[in-house]
Order: sequence, then C-alpha cells, then structure tokens
Amino acid sequence: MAVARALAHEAEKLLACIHCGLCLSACPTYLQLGDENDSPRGRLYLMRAVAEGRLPMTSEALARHIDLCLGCRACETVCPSGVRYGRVLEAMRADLARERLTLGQRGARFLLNHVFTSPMRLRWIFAPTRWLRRRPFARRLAEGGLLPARLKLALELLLATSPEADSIFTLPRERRPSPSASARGEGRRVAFFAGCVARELFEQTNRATKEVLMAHGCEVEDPPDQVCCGALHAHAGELETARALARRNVRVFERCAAEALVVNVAGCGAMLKEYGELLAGDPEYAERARAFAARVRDISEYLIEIGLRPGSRPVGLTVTYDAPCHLHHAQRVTTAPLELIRRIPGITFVPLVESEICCGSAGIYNLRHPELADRLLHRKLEHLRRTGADVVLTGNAGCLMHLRRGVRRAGLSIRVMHPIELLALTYE
Amino acid sequence: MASWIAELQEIVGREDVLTDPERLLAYECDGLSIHKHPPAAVVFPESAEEVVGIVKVLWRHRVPFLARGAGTGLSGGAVAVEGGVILELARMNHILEIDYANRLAVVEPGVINLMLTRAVADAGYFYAPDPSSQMACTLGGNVAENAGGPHCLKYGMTVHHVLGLDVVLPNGEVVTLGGHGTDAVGYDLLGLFVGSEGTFGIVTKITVRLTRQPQAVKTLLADFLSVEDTSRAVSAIIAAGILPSALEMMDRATIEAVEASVYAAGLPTDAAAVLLIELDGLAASVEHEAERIVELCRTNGARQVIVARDEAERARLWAGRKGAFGALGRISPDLMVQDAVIPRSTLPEVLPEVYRIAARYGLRMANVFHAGDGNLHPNICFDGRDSDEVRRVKEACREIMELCVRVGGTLTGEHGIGLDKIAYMPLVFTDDDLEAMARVRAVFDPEGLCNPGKVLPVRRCRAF
Amino acid sequence: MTLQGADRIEQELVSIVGEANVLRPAPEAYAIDDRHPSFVVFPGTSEEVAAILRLAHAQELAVVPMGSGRRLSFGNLLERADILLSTRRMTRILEYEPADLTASVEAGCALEAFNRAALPHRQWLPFDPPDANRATLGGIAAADDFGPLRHGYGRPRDSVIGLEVVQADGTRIRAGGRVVKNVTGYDLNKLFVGSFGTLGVLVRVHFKLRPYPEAEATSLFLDSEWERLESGARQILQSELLPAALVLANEEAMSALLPDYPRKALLARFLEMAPAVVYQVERVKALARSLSLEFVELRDEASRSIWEKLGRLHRLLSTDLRLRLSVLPARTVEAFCAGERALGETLARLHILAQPGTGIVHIGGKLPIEDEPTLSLVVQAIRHLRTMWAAHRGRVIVEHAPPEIKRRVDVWGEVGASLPLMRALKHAFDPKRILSPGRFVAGL
Repeated sequence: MAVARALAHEAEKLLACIHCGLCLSACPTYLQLGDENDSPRGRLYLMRAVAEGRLPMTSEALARHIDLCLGCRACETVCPSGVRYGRVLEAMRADLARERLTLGQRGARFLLNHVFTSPMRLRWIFAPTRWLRRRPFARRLAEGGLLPARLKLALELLLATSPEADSIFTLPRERRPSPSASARGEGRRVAFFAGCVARELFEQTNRATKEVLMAHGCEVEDPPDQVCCGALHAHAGELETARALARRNVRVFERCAAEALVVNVAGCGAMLKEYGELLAGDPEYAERARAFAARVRDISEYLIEIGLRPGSRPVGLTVTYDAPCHLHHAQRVTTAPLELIRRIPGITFVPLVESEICCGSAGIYNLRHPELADRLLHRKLEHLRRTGADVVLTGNAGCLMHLRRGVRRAGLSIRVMHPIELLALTYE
Repeated sequence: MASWIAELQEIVGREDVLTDPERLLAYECDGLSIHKHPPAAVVFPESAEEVVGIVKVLWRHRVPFLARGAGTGLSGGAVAVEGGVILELARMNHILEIDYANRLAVVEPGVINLMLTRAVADAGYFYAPDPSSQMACTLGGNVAENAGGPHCLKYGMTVHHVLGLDVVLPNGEVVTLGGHGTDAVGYDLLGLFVGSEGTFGIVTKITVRLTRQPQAVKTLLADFLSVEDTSRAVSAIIAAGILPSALEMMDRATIEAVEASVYAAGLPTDAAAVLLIELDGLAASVEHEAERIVELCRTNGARQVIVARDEAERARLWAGRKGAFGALGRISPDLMVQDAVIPRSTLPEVLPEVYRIAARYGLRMANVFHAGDGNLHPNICFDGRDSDEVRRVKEACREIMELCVRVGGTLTGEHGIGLDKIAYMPLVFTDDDLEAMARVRAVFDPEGLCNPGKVLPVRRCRAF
Repeated sequence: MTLQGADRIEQELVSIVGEANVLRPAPEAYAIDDRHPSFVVFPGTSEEVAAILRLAHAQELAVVPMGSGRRLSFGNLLERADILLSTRRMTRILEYEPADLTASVEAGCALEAFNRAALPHRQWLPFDPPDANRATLGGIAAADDFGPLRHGYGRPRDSVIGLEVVQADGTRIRAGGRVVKNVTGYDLNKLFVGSFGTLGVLVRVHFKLRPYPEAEATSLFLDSEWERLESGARQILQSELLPAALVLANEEAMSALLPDYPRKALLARFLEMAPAVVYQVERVKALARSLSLEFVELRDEASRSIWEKLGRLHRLLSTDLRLRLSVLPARTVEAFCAGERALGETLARLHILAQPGTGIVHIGGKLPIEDEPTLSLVVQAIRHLRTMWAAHRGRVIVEHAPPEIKRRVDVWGEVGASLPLMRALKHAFDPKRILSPGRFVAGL
C-alpha cells in the first residue's frame, strides 16, 4: 500500500476535526449533492481513514471525492475547531498525484510543470489566444454547435476575458490618473504581483490597479522576472513545482524595497500569503518566505490600510459584490472589498445572497467538472438576478471569467468587473 | 447484490444508492463520533414519493432503516447501529410555503434551520428554536430530536413550534400529524412524534410556526471570578421572576478555546466563567429587566457586566457561544459532549461537583451550557487512541449522570438518548415506564425496523 | 352488574378508600350527560387510585376520572360508566421551589389555590379555561383545556413537564420529569395530556411556571361592524405588541361582559412590566384613533374581572350548545361569520368569542326548544360547517351539547388517516376499554 507521505505531515490537522458538521452547509458541493462524501467533514473522514490505514490510497471513492472538492475553503471560515482544510487537501492531492493520474490530469500536469513555470512559454501560449478573442468568428464559434463541449467552454471562458466584454468601462489607454497633490509627497513604494494568466489576459485589470495605486501616491514596481505564484500547482498536488516557483518569487521580490507586495487576484494572493508554510521545511528559504508572505496585501486590503481616496467622478450604478473564495475564506479579507466598494462615489450597493459561496470557477475546476461548476454558477446567477444590480464586482480572475460567461449565456444585463476597475473610473 | 438494492436503484437511480463500503465510511458516525457503525447502503430520495417507495421496499424485505439530515446530532442517533439503510434527506431542502398571515412556513425536512430564519428575516420574523448547530442542522433532524438551543429558555423547544408533520410510517403508509396550522383532534400524535428520535417514521413535510422579531434585544456579558458565584447569579435571576430569552454560561476552558478560534468574541480570558444573557421583547420591559439583571449579577459577585453595543457585537458574542463546542476540538483530538438537566436551583451545588468528578478521573473538562434552564453540557477533552482515557471518560460520564438524576434532574435536555445514553435510561425510568414507551413505539413500528437500537434499552430479549 | 356484584364491588371500594369516600348510587349532580355512574369514589392517594383501577381492570368496570367535573360533558356519550373517580381529595402541592420555576401538584389541586400559593413569589400558571375558578390542574391537563391566554402563553400541553399516571391495569408510570427541558425517552406527557381520561388516570402533574406580570390592562375597541375590528386585530398581530390575549366578541357576548357596551368588540389583554403595559395601551389607543374606533381601557382589577367573566360567559348566557372551531388564524372572522350564518336562525343568544391570533373560535347559544326539527337543524349546521372548513384544514368540535345531539353526531368530527394509530394506542394502553369508554374520538 502506498504511504500517504504528505498527508502524514498533516495528521495532527486531521485530528482537529471533531466531526461537528458545521462545515456542511458552507460547502458548495455538499449543498448541491447532499452526499457527505462531498462535504469537508466527509472528505476529512476519508483522509483520516487513509492516515489510519483503513482506506487504501488507491481507493476509487477517495480519488473521486477529493477530486470533486473545489478547494474554496469556505469550510475553514466556519470551522470552530480550526481545521486547516486547504493544507490537508493539498497534501492529500500531492499523495494522490504520485499514486495515479488520468490522462486529463497528466495533460494538466504537463502544462503546470512545463508551461506555467516560465513566463516566456506562457507568453507564447497566450499570444494566439489574445488574437483569437478579438476575432468575431471566435464568438460565432462559441455560440455555434460545432465545437466539442469542453473546447467550447474553454473558448467561452477566453472570450470572457476580452476587454471588449465590458467595453463601456474600458479605460482609455492614454489616461493616467496623476498622483494627487497630497499623495505626491508620501513616497510609498509597492511591488506589484502581476500574475501569470492575468498578465496575459487581464491587462486592463492590471493597468487599473497600477493607476489606482499611483493615484494614491504609490510608486509601483513590477519586476519582469516574477513567475506564476504556484497556486494552480499546489491545488493540483504539484507541491514541488509550487515550491520551486515560490523560491523564485521570493528571490525576485527580495530585490524590491517595497513596503507591500500588492496583488489583485485572490487566488494568487492566498498562495503568496502561504509561502511561509509552503517553504517551512526549507532551511534556506523558510524565514525569507515568511518575510515575503508578511508583505503580501490584496489590493483592497492595501488601499483601506493606507487610507482609500476614491476619485470624484460618480459612477451612478447599482452594484453588488461576490466574494472570491480565496479572498474571503483563504485570506479572510472580508470587509476591505466591501468598504472599498461602498466608498466609490455614486454607488447604490445591494448585498448578494450567498456571496460567500463559490461560483464554481475554482481555478480550473470549471474546465474539469463543468456540470457541477454550472450548477453552482446557476445558483449564483439566480441570486444575482434578484439583486437587480448593473454590475457585480469580484476580485479574482477565474471568477471574473466564469461569471461573465454565465451572465452572457443567461442573457443577463449585468456587467462583471474587478472592483479596482470600477474604482479606477472615478478618477478624472 | 441483495434484491432490495436493485429495487432502490429503480426508485432513485443507480447513482443515488451508495453501497461501496468506501463511500459508506463517511456515514458510519454522526456528530458524536465515538459510535461507529457503517450502514449497508445510503440512498438519496428527493421527494416524499421516493421516500414512500424506499420505505415500502425496505419494509417488505424487513431491512432496518433510518433517516439522516446533516448528521450533527450528538447522541449517535443518525447511525445505522444494526446495519441497514440510511435515507439521506439533505436533498429535500425546499421551503415550500411561507405564510405570514398565519405565521407559518411549510418546509421539507432537509431545510437547514438557519436558512429558514434567513428566508423570513426581512419580513420581520424568525424561526425560534436555535440549536448551536443551526447553521448546518436540518429541520427534519430538529423534529426527530426535539432540538433546543439557547433561546428555548423563553421560546420553548422544537415541539412548541411544529404545527404539523407529514410522516411516512415504517410500513410505508403516509399520515398527517397535527393540523398544519390548526388544532387536530384526538391524541397528540404530533407532540409524541417530535423527539421520537427517528424511531416512529420519516418526516417528509413540516409546518412550523414563525415568530415575530422582538422590538428590542439586549445582550449582556457578565464575568465572574468563581463558578459558584456564576451559578448563584443564574439562580438569582430565575428566582427574581425574570425570564431572559437566553442565559448561557461558559467557563474558562471554553472561553480560552473560543478566543483561539475563528469565533473569537473578545471574552475575558481571565474570568472563571461568563454569563451571556439576552433579553428581548418590548423596549420598555427589556430596559427595566436589564437593570435588574445587572444588579443581580453584581450582588452575586460579577466583576463586570457589559452590554453589547450594537448588532455586530451581539452577533460576535453569539457566534462565540455557538462555535464553542467545535472550538473545544482544538484542545484534544476527541471531545465527549455530555447533556444533562438539573433543577436550576441545584446549579451552585452540582456544577462544582461535576468539576470534581472530572478531576478525580484526571480528565480535562470544559463547561458551556444553557444555565437558564439547568441544561448542563460538560465537555470532556480526550484522545480516543488512549484506551485508558476512554475508559475514564465513560466512567466519569456515568457518575455525572447519576449525580444529575440524584438531584432531581434527567439524562438529556436536547441531544436525545440515541445510542449513547441507552444504558442510563434505567437511572430515570422504571421497567414499567420503559415498557409503556415500548408499547408506544410498537404502535408506530411493530416490526422494529425504524432506527432500531436507539432510545430504549433491550432487556430479556425484548425491546423496552 | 348484578345487585350482589355491585354490593361486593362497593365493599372492595370501601376497603380501598373508606366508607366516607364512596357514594352509591351517584347523586344527580354526578350524572354525565344522561348517564348515572354506579359509584362515585374519592381516593386520597395515588396508591388508592391504583387499587381502584386494579379492581376495575379485574372486573372490567368502566372508570371515568374527573376533577371538578367542569368538563365531564365534553366528549361523546360514554358507553358505560361504572365508577366515577374524583380527585377531589388529592389537592396537595407536593413540591414548589420558586428558584426552579417549577411545581408538582396532585391532580385535584385547584388552579386558583395553586396560583394563590405562587403569587407571593410572583409566579403563576397562566391558564384560563372556562370556569377557571373551579378547575383542577389534573383536569386542565387531561383536557388540555385552554382559554384566551393561549394566545400569549400557549396551551397547558406546553407547560406540563411531567406526569404520574395510573394505567388501566393499576400500574403506575412516570412521564417526563421535574426539569423544564427534557428529551429523555419518548415524551409520554403528550400522549396523556388532552386524552380526556381515556388512556390513564393522571394523579400528579409537574408544571413549569411563569413569572407573574407586574401590571395588567385591557384595551377594548368597539364598533358595529367586524371589518375595522378585524383590521385592528391584524395590525396588533403584525406589530411589536405582545398581548397575552386577543379576543373578538359579538354584541351578545359583550352585553353580558360589559352591559354598557353591547357592541362588537376587540379585547386585548396586556400582562407585562408596568412601563410596557403603559406603552402598549398607548399604542393601541393610537391605533383605535387611526381606525376611528371607540376605545375603552380597563386597568388592573377591572381588567382581571372582565376576563374572569369571559371564562363564565357560557353560564351567564345559559348555553346549551357550544362549538369550538379551529381554523387558520387569518380566517378567524370568516369562520365565525359562517358559524353565525349556519346557527343564527336556530340558536338564541348566539355569542361568539374568537381568538384572531390562534384561529380558535367559540360559538355558543341556547336551544329555544329541544324538538326534532331544531335538533336536526343543529346537526345539519354542524355537518355543514365541518364539510365547509375541512377544505381549509379547519375543525369543528362540539364542546357542549345536549345528549340528543351527541347521539347524532360525533362531537370530535373526523380524525383522518391517523385514526388507526390512535386506535392502536388506545388498545395498547387500555385493552379492556375500561377508561372513559366511548368518550374520545371515533368512540375510542
């Protein structure tokens, strides 16, 4: 029987679960499926069974139910016993990855280990997609019935990244908010974590982030040699690759004399903040990684911290907010985005029911389990529809794509944006 | 494969009958994980008709079965002790009707307790019973256990808020109990059914009372330097003729665990115990009662009494209280939560004795409980891998039960007998009492198929 | 029963309770409907009750338990009635610890006596069934007998925390306990409360008590039409106000309650801390103004006295027939208007007391003559109301009626699909059918 190596390190964390069940109603997959095997408590129980030798690593049930987990970590937010579910899950996935892989998983693994590790290769991979998403035939293709379902879905998601998608909000490229007089003298220096996919597909969000930072008197540094944060790798159990990426980022950002390392993608932010734990076993890097992690801030968090100064141009929109799991649950950044949004001039804010429940995007989950992801999306869209909002804001690349695609397919007239993009619009 | 499995698959579909032993593991225990018994199968009905179909098959094949909701129960009630089939009702989670004019809601059994309150909050109503697991537990489970919660001190238990049930009897027949909003005639089968721990049948539809939100709510936190003073303050409040909506006690071990958890509420970690007291009703009376309570706490040795400033602070205090049981999980790998009730006036004498019992067995104990109605919840922190410690836990539990019964109390106030407390039943009831209960059970379930092995002890080859 | 047999039984009863505590035959005052029991016995302890039941069980004698006898005619006609078992001598308060807010009493303990004893501790049992001044606590529990206070305090069923019951064969069992929160085993309290002496004889009852209110007041809205009164009731129900009782009364009822105001009325009783009573009276006064309704306020003794009178209304108006309708609360007015239409022609002095918060409606009146056409009109009206309200989950119970009517109609109405369960319970607890046989639903 295979030894659960990574899991063994987390055995104490498994024992922290006392089976109280408070996590059940927080778990999107349990809410959809009603099967305890698809709940945090059930998955932990399976993992505990592996750790105790009652269940083999080769178990079909184990593979299936661990695979179906979104990794949204909503369970951590409600767990009174403090179970570090995300950590345990990653360890389990690392062990399973060594055990056996499906063809799809092999493909994903190749991409993760050989493409996402290199900014250059990513650029080559994403160049044609950037071209593609501007082509009218791509949209026709996505709407037609020719493509196989999985490919069609991928294309729809790609199209959902297109800046034209919400063109009325697109920032004119030449407009650069100039630092306000009071801000100029502050001399805050921040480093910007651009994100691998975001750099390729969310130029607009990144630009807005930098501009808003500048409007707050920050000097923004964007090291060109930074790499992918490694979140996708860690979630897929590729812990070694994730560590290699982490070491590189630690080295790159050590060179920046910035007071904060600002990130606008919730999934990346969550990973970066956990570098300390990821590299805890590496004597050379443990301390450096902790120092790195301590500097990481989500953009909303950072702006509230230094004193948010929205621009003066009112946007005149009814707005709601969908909390990205990796911001709300993993980073526990819950109030800053709401405060930021509420202070955008000309906003009518309406709360979104179940805003803390996963939309189904969950990294590349929507590509791997489209059916379940769509059920979660449908639930989300129903709640969105009831808000009557013009715009839904969410601070994570994957959620933006997933929601945009959903909103479009459902024919809703709701725009999907990153909060920072809306904030950027308020500066004259 | 047993033929009944194929019949079940025909009803709900192949995917929705779990028989793979690996996938049954998660169903081998509920919120009290020391009792582990895997079922033979788990089936996921989505409608009352499917429940009827499933029960008829199982009845015909004489296969025992039980219903399960979120599995948050704390007496081993949702465990298939004799094998058999679990009907998982989590997918029957629709609110069917909300009728404000008649102050009632009709729900399926899988609806989560808190979801109902959330659904009616904007209209100014709530569903009163609020067990600490309310964010996860289902109303069907609440009905089975006659669930309580902190606010049942004033508002009563689940049985006081259920107006009607549609029930599938163990033979597959469907009956309506209660009038779903009007008074039924005849014996109070509705009252009898609520709290029968799933042994009388399976609920498929529930009508509950909705309660109007009070005009004013005041939440106070009083901290004390001794557990005895805290207990005396509780007795003094009740004797003064004040009925708070909740009157909860948390001792130091609990406070420390809560403050270390995601539910940290800013409780004073240097206090021996705190009382969380809530008053609600008309602003005019709440103000007046709050003053009396502050005074009573002070005269009984409270160091400080603070009033929650706003809704956010109030919510934080309650989140801390409701997360307390789970938070205790961080102290040790396993947790045994006990549930016993004593006459409230005996609290100052019983509580210190409960601590002494734990100390005698060398066990770590934390107490967090519904002091206002004398409902104790001693939590014993232990490591299930240590067999000697497990033995000491069991012995201490028995002593605590005996103590509570001796002062005029009883075995359980809200968790139920389930599997866990069957052995204690003779402490409270005579053979004649138990035999009368067995007669009632036989009326509903003559073949003994519905959640067998729970509630009543088996003696001389017959179930009481 | 032969004469010799009766003599032997009398001897045995005397040996159990003593000569002074057996009456044979039952005096006229102990007749139940038109049936005269052979014996009335007055046991003094639960052991004596058990001995009487052992005897009755062995001899298959029908036993009818009674408290004050207030509600003896509530139910179908008895098939047999050999021994009327009165709890008149069992009146002790067994345990009362104010700091527990609970009490245990013998079944024959009077509600009034208990509340007098609890008053110095500012506690009480908030029950107000008809003729509350005579009611025993055992009787209230056995009949789950409520009045207008049900609105604010629930039914007695919700206050009973424990019972001691003598079963049909004389064995004694306990249900529940002495604590306010209890899920230990099946809650047999629920089985016996409201079972009208057909499953066992209650000998001891444990209650949870309530704090006694500091102040009280009653507000009356008066009008000539129901519409605005109903609207007033609805607005009170949807507000923050917490009336302990809320009753709509018609002119006939009001002319007996407050002869100066013989109009349709809405009565709201407030029992609270003094400032909260003042607040609520002011609020409803403003509401009356906004609805242009005449408003009367009764404080303290005047308030208490009108509710006490209301509990005796059926006597004040010498009622022959009294129906209890239970409907969804929002249909309360609709229900009594239907009742009035159905019975208005037949009954004299038709009075209505209805609780818009609970959907309980009482309609009572006097039969001008007990001739065949009148009786059949009444029976028709009852059947009509039952059919009409069954569609809306409504129930019509005949609380009080002459035997001639009870012979023609089941006073309880249809039970529905749960009747087999009830039959089985009756059989499980009283297989020889010696406890109040025939009295309960479907003649159980």
